Amino acid sequence: MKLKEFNKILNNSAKFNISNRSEEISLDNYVFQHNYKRKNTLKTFALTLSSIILVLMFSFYLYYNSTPYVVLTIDINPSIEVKLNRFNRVIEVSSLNDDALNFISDIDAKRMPLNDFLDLIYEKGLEENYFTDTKANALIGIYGSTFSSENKVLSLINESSKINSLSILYHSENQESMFNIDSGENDESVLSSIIDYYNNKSSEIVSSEYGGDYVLEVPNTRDSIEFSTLPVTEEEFIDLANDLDISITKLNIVRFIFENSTDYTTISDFIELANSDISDLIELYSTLE
Amino acid sequence: MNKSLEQYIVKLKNGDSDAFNKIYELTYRKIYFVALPILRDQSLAEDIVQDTYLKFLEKLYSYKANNSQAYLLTIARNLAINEYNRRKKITRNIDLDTKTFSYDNYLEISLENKELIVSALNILSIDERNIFLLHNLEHLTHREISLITNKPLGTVTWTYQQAIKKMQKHLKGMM
Repeated sequence: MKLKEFNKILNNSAKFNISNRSEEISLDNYVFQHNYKRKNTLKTFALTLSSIILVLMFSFYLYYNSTPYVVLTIDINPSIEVKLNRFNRVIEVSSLNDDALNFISDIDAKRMPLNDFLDLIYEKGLEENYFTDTKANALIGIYGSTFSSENKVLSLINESSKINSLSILYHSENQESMFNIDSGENDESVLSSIIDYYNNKSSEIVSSEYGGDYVLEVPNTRDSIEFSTLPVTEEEFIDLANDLDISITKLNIVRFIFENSTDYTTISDFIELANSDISDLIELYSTLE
Repeated sequence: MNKSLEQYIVKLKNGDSDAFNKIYELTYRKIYFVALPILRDQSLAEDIVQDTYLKFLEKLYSYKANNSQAYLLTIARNLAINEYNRRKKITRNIDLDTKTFSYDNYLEISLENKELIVSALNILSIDERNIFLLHNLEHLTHREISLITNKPLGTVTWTYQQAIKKMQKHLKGMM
């Protein structure tokens, strides 16, 4: 017998009895359900994408909400600095002098709209007698990166009826209509001298802490200090304002008066001006303008 | 055959339910031959066949590879081993030793030629007998047998050659 014949007999006489039970399997629960699931995948993708967009939008909102866009200085004798976000809401309020420390101690202005904050400052100023019938002045500095951002803040201040009842002097670097700090030829050298003076004073204070006898002596004439020829940088200007415990707006008006008035010539005069009342400064300014 | 299996799977994915019957016809016996040596029970092996297709359908849309036959047989083997392990916990004296398994124990042979077939098959070793039956009775290729028995293709081919030689020698003296 050949193998071929045996295989024929084998195939005719033997088999593995395996039942075909394909009918028992219902495809409805799988094939069509999965088609539905494919749609779900698209839905999931769309949901994921929209979630990512939402997260990004929220991140941008948080970023814009917490990033200072415009800085406002308000001098009503207490000098405060207010940082505003793109939506002109208050991010941070800080004091620039000792009066301001007490003035803002109980103010929680975070995320407050600018108008409400200005109303609050006005009412608090009234309460603490910073405004009287004869003296109701404010010096406001608006410092934004663009003209439009400053302009928007300015228009918001103009909308605030309470604060507008004060006599306000504005300062800004981008707004031409506001008072201009550009002044005489020796402007930068005078400021440089004052900065040098304050730098020297700091080093003397440091040496006195190590046993030296330090007595604060303010020079009486311009000749007593060495005039620097270096230009004043923005940082130096801000540092000087910090040294004097005044806002840069107040420093600007002090500088303007100092440069334009013949009555003030010495560094002690400059410091005296810096310590002056806002109302007095505004009055002096209006006589020189 | 594999190419048409892949085509039927594509059709099934597109919602053609008739394609499933074709896939079933092409593969259910092979799946059975994978499960049977592990479970050594015909009805359990048939249940594994059903479970394999259910698992396959569950993963139908996530399955991306192009060797569906190997994929189905792997599902079957894993399901059979899981079932074996589950049963082993209940009955401790069963042992997974596929080397001692012979498909001919599950072969239905007509009485007329039973003696001839059994005596011929008995001259082969278990491995030779299994490969001989899967090739000559089930008409599976050596590659398919290799997948089912989990043996290298070369081993399957060599074992089959040995089986043929033995069988030819045995049949030579028969009418």
